Amino acid sequence: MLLEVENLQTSFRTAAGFLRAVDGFSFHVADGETVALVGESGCGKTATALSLLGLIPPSQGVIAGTVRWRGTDLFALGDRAMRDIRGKEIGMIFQDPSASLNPVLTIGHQIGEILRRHQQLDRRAATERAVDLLDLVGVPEPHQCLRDYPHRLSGGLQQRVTLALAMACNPKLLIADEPTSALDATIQAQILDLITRLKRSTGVAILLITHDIGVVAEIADRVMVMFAGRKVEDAPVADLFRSPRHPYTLALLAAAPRLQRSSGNESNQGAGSPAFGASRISASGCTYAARCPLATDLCRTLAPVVETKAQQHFVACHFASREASAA
Amino acid sequence: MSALLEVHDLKKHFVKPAPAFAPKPIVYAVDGVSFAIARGETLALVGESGCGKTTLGRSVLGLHGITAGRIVWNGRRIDHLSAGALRPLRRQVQAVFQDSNRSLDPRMTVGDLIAEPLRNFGLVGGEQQTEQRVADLLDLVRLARTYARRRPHQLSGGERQRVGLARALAPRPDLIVCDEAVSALDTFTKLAIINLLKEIQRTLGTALLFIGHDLAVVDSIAHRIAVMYLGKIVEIGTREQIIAAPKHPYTAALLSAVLAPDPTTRGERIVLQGELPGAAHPPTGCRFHTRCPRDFARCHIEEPRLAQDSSDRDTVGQQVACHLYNGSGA
Amino acid sequence: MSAASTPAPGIAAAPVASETQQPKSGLSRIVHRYPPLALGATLLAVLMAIAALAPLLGTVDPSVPSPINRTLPPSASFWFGTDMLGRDLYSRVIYGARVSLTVGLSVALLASLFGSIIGFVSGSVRWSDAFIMRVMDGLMAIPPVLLAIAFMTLTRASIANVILAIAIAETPSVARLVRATVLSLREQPYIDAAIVAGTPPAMIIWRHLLPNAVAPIAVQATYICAAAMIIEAVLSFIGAGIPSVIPSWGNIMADGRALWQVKPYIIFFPALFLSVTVLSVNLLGDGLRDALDPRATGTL
Repeated sequence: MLLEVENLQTSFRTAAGFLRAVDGFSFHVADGETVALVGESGCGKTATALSLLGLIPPSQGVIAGTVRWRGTDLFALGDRAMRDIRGKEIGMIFQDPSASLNPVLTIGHQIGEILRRHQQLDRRAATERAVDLLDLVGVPEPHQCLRDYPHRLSGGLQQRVTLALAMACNPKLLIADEPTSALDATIQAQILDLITRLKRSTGVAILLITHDIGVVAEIADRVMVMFAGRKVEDAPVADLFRSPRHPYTLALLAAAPRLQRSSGNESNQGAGSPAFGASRISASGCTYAARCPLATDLCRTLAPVVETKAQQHFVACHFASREASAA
Repeated sequence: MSALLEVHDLKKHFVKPAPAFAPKPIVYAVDGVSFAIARGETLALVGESGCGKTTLGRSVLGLHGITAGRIVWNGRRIDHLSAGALRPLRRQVQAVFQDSNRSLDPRMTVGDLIAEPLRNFGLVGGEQQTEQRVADLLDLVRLARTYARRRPHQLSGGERQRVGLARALAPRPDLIVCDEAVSALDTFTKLAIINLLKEIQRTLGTALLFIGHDLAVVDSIAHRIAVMYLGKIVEIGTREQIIAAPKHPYTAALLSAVLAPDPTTRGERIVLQGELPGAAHPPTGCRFHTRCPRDFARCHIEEPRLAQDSSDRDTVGQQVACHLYNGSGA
Repeated sequence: MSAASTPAPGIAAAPVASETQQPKSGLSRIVHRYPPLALGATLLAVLMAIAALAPLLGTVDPSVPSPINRTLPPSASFWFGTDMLGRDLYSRVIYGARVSLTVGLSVALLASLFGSIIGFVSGSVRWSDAFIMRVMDGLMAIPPVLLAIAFMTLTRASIANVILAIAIAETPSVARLVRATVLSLREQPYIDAAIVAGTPPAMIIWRHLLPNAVAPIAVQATYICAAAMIIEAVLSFIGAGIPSVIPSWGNIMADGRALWQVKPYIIFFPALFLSVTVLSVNLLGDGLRDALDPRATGTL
């Protein structure tokens, strides 16, 4: 097991007190596995990734729980050791490529810096490796690209470069936070295709964070659905789409825009979709109770525990045993 | 059906600044686009970054002048009108913009924002009548009447779009231009706004020019779809024709890039090679040939015209600009 | 990273609530959220009251000399002491508040007015922009005090001329600010939306541009007020400002300059009042800047 997270809790300091973004989230990622973390904006998925990598300074938030990377407790490590792991063993790419690309340095400089720091390569070796990396991610004319500044590249190319940066040291895990949300559809197809090929050629494990259930269907092996800081469902991808069990998952799948491929515009999309409104963590009770069409008093008072269904399919819902397909 | 809006060979070019004595680069944002919208119908304009759909929307709204071509509204040519002459016509053509662009003045209350077009066109008398109309419009977009006193930053993205829609509906326009109106919203809100738009169209008969980049979203709301690439329409037809039987390779690629929530269709994508060319340097011949999986010699030299595929008589009304089909450049 | 116990659950990070609480009643809310604003405004109000009510505050005619009583330290009969001509310093300082506040507020008003007009024209009328801005740049290159001194040498000393001199020196900063504000506001999408909604250009300026421009101008005006009071004091200090007959804090300090080592109280009190006034105006400005941000409150 590459990554084991137990009971992760992250709270941010705000003017209005503490905001609990992640509320007891446990999961694991195995070698070579692509795990998708999906949920709407504000559910805590990005906070999870930032917490794992130690990217939330104490002045901003408080983190609790255990995170084990290949057996080592990450929270017990010092800054230096953490930095090493971040660069060498875990790579990360973001939605906005300019979050990873320094606008005043050339691409070659930025890739080279990582290679020299983590792999102690000399100038020439680093340049060669950089070209190989750019080839790996499908950048045309890599030598020219090394000399370019980030702003000269299109969004798709920039994202390829950030992938190259993330993969530079052959990490075991790639954390991708909304990697294609800002890209055009055909470019998204290219990048997802690239990620699939990278998976096959390097065997890297991927923690994919997204709100787009279509992207999940395209590249994930396993899916975790998150709502208001908690995991509500966790299943292999085929299983999740074939028989979703949590009411929130059902609503998410029903609301996802999809092509009709039939005559008539009438669709039952969204029939029974949840009412809108804030999702509050009550001190007890299911976080989804306020929006759930199936909620009962039990749901409002007792938080459901994650139960295992058949074939590694976990659900946190009191009604998971029944057919929860009421939408 | 008489056409509400007709656009003939519209061109909008931007001249970019350049240092003295250097040739000024021209961005061919919209380069010869023609279409029509009938009363009560929804035409979707779909394309990726740089295809010119936003510029086209702004041209139709008269937010800037056009370089060439004609815009005809209800039989009357309007592209050459002055701002003052155009203003009374604006009552009939309204818009909902992309929320992330902050299209609501942050200092005004929701009530004032919705009332603005009412006051501009003299559609209300005193304060009381204005309040009543604003309340009715809030009802129409399913917002509580108390929202009239709030300000935009107190609202969520979806609520702001509803306000924008209420404002657009205030003067009872014949056409609403939706410029990426749902692109910045999350899944559930997107769905809600689309359903609201459909309902509005059903009850009020408003036509919609829906500009977007997501074919799945467009599929649920459009009657006809026009696909744009680098300033031109490459294919146009009814929703069924475009979604079920696209002819242009770009349309096919765009459709295949829509990711269905279905893992069994994995890996069946058409993945285009290469990057989108910049709008200042469109490729010669067919603009799509640099990325087209089915291009051949003629595509590099000659630009195809948008025309009916004469060999396929079943698809009346579907036009495609591609050398693979008869009638386009033949 | 700490593995300390996490705080009790609060509101989860979630999509914005569709119900927002109604703001509490005006004044107490303003005081609570913007201490600088409340403090600055209160102090300034007190100072303005002092200036307005000068005759009622136990003062005597500030220009009446009384050589017998010259340079007396503070005492029961002369609360702040007396200057070289035996004039009651307390009265001079209190009446001096009138001058300083008048100059400060007038300059702020005039500079804001001129600067707004110039900046607005520059931002709206493309071809005038380059020319106007170069003139403003030129003026700004000269330190305001020097500019004011130069102007004063060309005219006779009076309050009106001092106000005019300082106003001219401070106008360019407002002009630049307004120009920048106009340029950025013009690009805002809600301007497009207003055009589409049929709003005529004059109304767009009145309804959309001006309200959004008022905040930065108001904040800048308070800073100009503070600067103007200091410049006036400097001018009077070096004798290029208001004639000594009319008490101003700068004048009083100028008079006491020669004696400050033996009779520090002459300079001390006007300096104290000037500092407090400038502080209160700056606090007001900072507070206004935060309070007028529409995204912060929604009330102002």
